[in-house]
Amino acid sequence: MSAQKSRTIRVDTLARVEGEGALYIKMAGERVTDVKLKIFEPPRLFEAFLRGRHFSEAPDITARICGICPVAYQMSAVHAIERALGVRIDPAVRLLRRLFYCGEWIESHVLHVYMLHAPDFLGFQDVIAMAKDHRSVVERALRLKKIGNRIVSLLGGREIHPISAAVGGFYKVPTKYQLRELVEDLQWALEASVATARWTATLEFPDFEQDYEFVALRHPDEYPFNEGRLVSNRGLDIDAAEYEDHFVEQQVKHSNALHSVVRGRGSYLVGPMARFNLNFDKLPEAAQRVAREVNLTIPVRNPFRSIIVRAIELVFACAEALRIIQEYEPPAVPRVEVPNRAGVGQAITEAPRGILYHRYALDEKGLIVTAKIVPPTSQNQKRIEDDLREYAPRLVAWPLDEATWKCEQAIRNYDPCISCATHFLRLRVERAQPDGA
Amino acid sequence: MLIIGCGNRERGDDGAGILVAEQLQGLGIEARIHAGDPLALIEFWSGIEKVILIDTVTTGAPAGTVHRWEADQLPPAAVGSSASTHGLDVAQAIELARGLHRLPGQLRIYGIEGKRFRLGEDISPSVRRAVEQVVDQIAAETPVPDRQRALI
Repeated sequence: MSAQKSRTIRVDTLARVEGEGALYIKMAGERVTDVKLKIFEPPRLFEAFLRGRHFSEAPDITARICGICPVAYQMSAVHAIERALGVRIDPAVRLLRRLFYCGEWIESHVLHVYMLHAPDFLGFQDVIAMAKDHRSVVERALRLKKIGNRIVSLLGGREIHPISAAVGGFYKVPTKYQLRELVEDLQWALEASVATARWTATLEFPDFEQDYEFVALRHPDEYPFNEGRLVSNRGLDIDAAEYEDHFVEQQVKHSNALHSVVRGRGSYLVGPMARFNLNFDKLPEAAQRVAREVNLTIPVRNPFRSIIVRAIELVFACAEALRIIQEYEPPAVPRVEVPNRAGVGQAITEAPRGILYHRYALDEKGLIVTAKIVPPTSQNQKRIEDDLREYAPRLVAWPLDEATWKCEQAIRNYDPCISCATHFLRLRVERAQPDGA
Repeated sequence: MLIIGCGNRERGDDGAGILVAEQLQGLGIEARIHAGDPLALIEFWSGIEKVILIDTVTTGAPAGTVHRWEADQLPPAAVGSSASTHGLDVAQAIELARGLHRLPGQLRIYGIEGKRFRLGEDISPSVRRAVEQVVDQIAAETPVPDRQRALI
């Protein structure tokens, strides 16, 4: 034992992930003996809160789970309930929902690429320090993000916790003129996204590849947002209704989270890298061209390179938003009337950080009997621990503080989201004990 | 002048800033509610000379304590705090704006000390009293023309 140097990597409060998390890695020599990642607060409270509520309340209630991806929660909720009730939506509503998602992907990917992940690669403590040397880059990020905000506010009725999306459609839809007003900004955003992809490709990446099971939606005609079958590179090909037959959630002691695994196989990866690897052929030409230009070839197996993949998805989201605006004719009926009826429905949509599963059982009055929500971060959590188990031994030669930082960066590859529902100003005043940090 | 109340009303004391903004609106004073990404604040105050921001804080003081800081007097420990729940928190958004030379000419921050932040929790009685106190202070320092304009 004494011959083997033992060391512990410990981070009590993980910075730059959505919410707060904690990390604990124990090593003996080059052997990792324990990895515990505590990053997710499961939405169990919300599932309980939904019981007994009318289905029409579900989109608003679930949108409050996450301040960064409220659109994803609304979309999975409305699609699951529409499936439970056999509702068909207007094709124009379908387009608007895709546009809504474009806005959220732009906001979320810009935040993560520039503000949370890039400082790691460039060796800055955070984006505040980075802004001093890379002011124009940060200004570009803020302007890009604002365009995502505009789309989400226009379709959602307001910026955060949007309220206009409803089962059956939207309470209020934009006019053609309102959408056209976004075109100029989006054209700029498309160019800025291409610049983003080129910029991320100049970063330095550790040589680290893993053999992942990638899981994402796949649609016959389009890069996935709201629809498609759930597929993987290991032969999975199922409907959302079969999700719980193939994926199981395991309780783990060290975290509030439930770890999801593919039944009979183990951890899997959801999010930009999975979508990109499984749907490259569905990306618009503009996005494919940039990916080829920056030598991003499928399958991408280095999770650190997910920052480039996010930038490619940013190019896609801007191009797709422009396409939708060109095609848009307002729906004849913004929202179809939805009858109260008993039923069970499941849906999966692609939140910025990966697939989000919802299931609702409704009674004959349209009240929610049970709700189940499986967010992307709980699906990636086991995979993140598996990455760390492989990655940490490579850091033996590094000083502890740098090794710790690199582990945090490896976690940020997944853009994990905890519950992100509080955002108060938290100050650590000098006299406070810094928790052994 | 722009008054912005920040927070999340689903999370107990985190709703204090929003309550202040709502009560100011009730008095005919224009105030904006911001429940989301602090980075958006940089856009909100773009081109505005004077901004008052109200948010919940945790500094270790008793719940309901009211702090008042000018942007250049924010305790240094506010910056670089490792906690981060929306990617960047309000203090970090202020520091980022400073780095980009995009702070308003005058930025005053009212920080209300909170202690309960669980989902669905009620706001603490002491924080509720602090909300009233901050509303009175801001109303007292808001020039009359601003109030009348808001009423029209």
